[in-house]
Amino acid sequence: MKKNLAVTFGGRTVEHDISIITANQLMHSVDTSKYNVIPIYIDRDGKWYTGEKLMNVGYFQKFDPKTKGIKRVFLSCAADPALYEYGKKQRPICTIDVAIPAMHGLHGEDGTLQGVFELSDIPYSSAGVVGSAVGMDKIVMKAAFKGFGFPVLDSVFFERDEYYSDGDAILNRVEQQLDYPVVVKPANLGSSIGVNIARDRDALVFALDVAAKYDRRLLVEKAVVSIKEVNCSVLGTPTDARVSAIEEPISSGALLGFEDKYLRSEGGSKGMKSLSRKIPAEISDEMADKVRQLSLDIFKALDLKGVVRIDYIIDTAEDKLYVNEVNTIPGSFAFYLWEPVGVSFTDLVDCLVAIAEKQMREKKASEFAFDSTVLQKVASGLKIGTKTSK
Amino acid sequence: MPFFTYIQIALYFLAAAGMTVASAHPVHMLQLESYKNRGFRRWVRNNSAHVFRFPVIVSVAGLLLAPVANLIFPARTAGRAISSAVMSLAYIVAMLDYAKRSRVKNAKKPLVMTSRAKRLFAAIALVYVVVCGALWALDAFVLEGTALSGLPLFLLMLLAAAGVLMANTLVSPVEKAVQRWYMNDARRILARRDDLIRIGITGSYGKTSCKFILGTILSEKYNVLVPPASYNTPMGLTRVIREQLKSSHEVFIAEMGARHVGDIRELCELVRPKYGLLTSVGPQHLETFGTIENIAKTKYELIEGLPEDGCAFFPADNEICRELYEKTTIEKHLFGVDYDGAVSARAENIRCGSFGSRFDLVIGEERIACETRLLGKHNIANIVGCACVAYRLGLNPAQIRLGIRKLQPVEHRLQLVPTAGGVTVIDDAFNANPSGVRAAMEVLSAFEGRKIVVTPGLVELGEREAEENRAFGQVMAGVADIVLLVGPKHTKPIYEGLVESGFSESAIQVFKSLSEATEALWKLAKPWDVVIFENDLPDNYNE
Repeated sequence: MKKNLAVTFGGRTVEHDISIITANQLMHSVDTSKYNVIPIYIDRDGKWYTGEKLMNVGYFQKFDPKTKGIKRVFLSCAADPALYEYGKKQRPICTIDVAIPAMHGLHGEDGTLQGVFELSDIPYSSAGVVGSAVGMDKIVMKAAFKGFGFPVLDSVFFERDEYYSDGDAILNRVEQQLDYPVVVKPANLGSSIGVNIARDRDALVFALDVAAKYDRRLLVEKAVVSIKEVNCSVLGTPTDARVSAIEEPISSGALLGFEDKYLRSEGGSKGMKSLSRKIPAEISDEMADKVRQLSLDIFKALDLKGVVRIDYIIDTAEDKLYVNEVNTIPGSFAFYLWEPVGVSFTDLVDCLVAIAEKQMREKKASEFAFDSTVLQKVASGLKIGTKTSK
Repeated sequence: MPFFTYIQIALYFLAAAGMTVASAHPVHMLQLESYKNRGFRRWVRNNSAHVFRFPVIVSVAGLLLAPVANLIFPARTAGRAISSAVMSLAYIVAMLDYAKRSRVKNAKKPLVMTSRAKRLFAAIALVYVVVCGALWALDAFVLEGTALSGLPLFLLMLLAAAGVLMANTLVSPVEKAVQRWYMNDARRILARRDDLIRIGITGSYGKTSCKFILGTILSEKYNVLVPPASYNTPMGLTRVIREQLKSSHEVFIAEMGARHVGDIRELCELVRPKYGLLTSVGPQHLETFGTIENIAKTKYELIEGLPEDGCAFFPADNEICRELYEKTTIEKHLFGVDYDGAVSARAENIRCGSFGSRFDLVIGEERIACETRLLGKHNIANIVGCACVAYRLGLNPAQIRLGIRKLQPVEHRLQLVPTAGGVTVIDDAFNANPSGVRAAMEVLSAFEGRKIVVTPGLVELGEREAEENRAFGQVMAGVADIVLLVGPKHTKPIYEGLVESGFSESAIQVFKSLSEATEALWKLAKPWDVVIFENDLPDNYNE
């Protein structure tokens, strides 16, 4: 029987529009003989909608919840995978067999939505709550990398309010610990929004001001001068994963900016694919092996699943590899890295569904219920100490 | 012959329905004019060709054809019935088609079917039923059997705008009652919130800026509800209170706008503020107030509206406000920048630079070193006033300092723009009035480094334009080191003003367009330079 495949996209994030494009690419690559696609659009206010029209990317130029065929929906979060219509009647519309979150950034890629799927008992294709959350916060992610012994660039982090209340102290701290040029990043943002490079103190101030508009936690990182960036995708579950081709994105400036990453269009296609890139990356076989092995190690260490893209920085002067960050839901699902190794976008969707379902079986195999006599004891007047095991 | 009478009545009422449906476009325009008849009449006047041409053509055609048909088909024959039905229906179709064509496609703000719009449509339907009933009576009882029989129907389209106006006037008492109900409801909501700290802000200038500054600073300690920019009328605030005020809010900041004596009192009755911040008293809206005394009196209504245990804040740098301070009997505070007398809060040691502004905020026993991205003395004065309120509401120096650091400039208003290469750029493109331009020159003069002004000058000032631009040049001469003018003809008075005041002609460059000017700018700009873009003009000013 055909499975109901929900694709969620949009969301309360600066990458709302990019998510629509990613979802659209995926929905039109789905094998419709196997799946009923249920588009679930989350608008900028966080309201959920479904309807046939949401499959059409052009429709979002003028999204209107009152359009005929568009229904506002919600999940009950009560270990119940049904999708409900919002309103007085609140009747279930359908059951969600598998969900593919095609969300980027906060409220979708960061573990929050994953938490909702966990509560609803819906199998989903992205990393779990912990993997997603770690993959979103660049500061914690760096600490995790360090803890696992993966190579990372030196950095300094602080709270926005620390910077605001004593800017000079923070600037001094950065200058003591790092040499210019440095890269300033908001901790919790995907893409390159709010990311800027600074070559002196004045530029650092402006870069921090920009980043501080986007996040409460700020990260300043040593910038590599003779830089080569390479990306690699991993697909699977922690114990059964494989790696894609390795790409080398070509940026127009010193840093891959938001416009570069998503909007530069060649040949009219939309999204990540149109970015100019070299596949495979021009690196030595030895370095490529290193990237592939590190990618698998990271995938396992951070408890990732589904399809992820891991971004690396190579210091070509010293021939050193650094892991930069993990995207737990990469733009366009990094399908362009899988096509060269013989996995079409349609195959990729099949893999994602299988991964989601496997994880759900694993979850169900673990015990949740545990017959406890605690409540009976309480009812019969026995004193329960604070040390009673949970 | 009742059969013919029925058909005639049916046609008239069909026309009434058609006119109601066809009112969508005028209703849309009326909605955009906030349901004000005066604004709607202005729209009709300004678009009279569009509003009347087609209806007049069709109506005149009907008025001319009807007597012809009357001659061909005698009354009370099937021919007459058919001809009048065909003509009437054609007229109604034309009416609907015209309405459809005049509908604004992809309107920025489409017609929203609010309850008010629905009530208006009901009134429009009523008006047309009455009008059509009257026209039918005229037709049936007066013109029956004459050559003019059947003509009244073709007058309808000429009445379109008038019908909407009439309906709007008809519903106005209902609307007033509805508004009263909403306001009372808002009052009830506030009455249940004894815990809510209510702050009223008024003044001739700077009240919107102050609302946002105070909101940002107070957010360091409280959950603050700050209404959106233009919500400063009783209905605007009513809406915010009913739709946005949550039980989690601890502070409500009400900006209070006034055009007439009594406006602020009405707002105070709604909000019942305990704290009142006066930003300034000046000749704003002088035409509706009449005298500056009336303005001062109206602004003072805020202070009069405060309770016995309330607290009032006044800018010390404004003489009228100091007088108002003097006559206040409840707890009161002065704040300022320039004033030498005793104040509760003042800014000292103000410096400007690529960082924005830095100053020492002296408040109570504290001296707080502050930094903000905002530029200009008027902004600093507003910040000091808001800091004074915040201090009174229990924020500590660290919170006040942090709040001030987080303030963001309004776009294109003395906004510091990041650039590479050590050049400081100030974007003041939305500044377009003479006093604002002088204030901007004052800001620029406080910077160190070489000062470059890029400007097309002031426009749309009528006969005062050349004179104001000359004065602008004279002020600029004392501040700028290099001036780049955009538009040779238009900026001639600035050029003359500069030269008259002894500015070196070799330091002035004139360009045909802004893009040429910026290109030249980046060739000559060096690190430590400060560049201000003063006013921006639409493309049609490129010479």
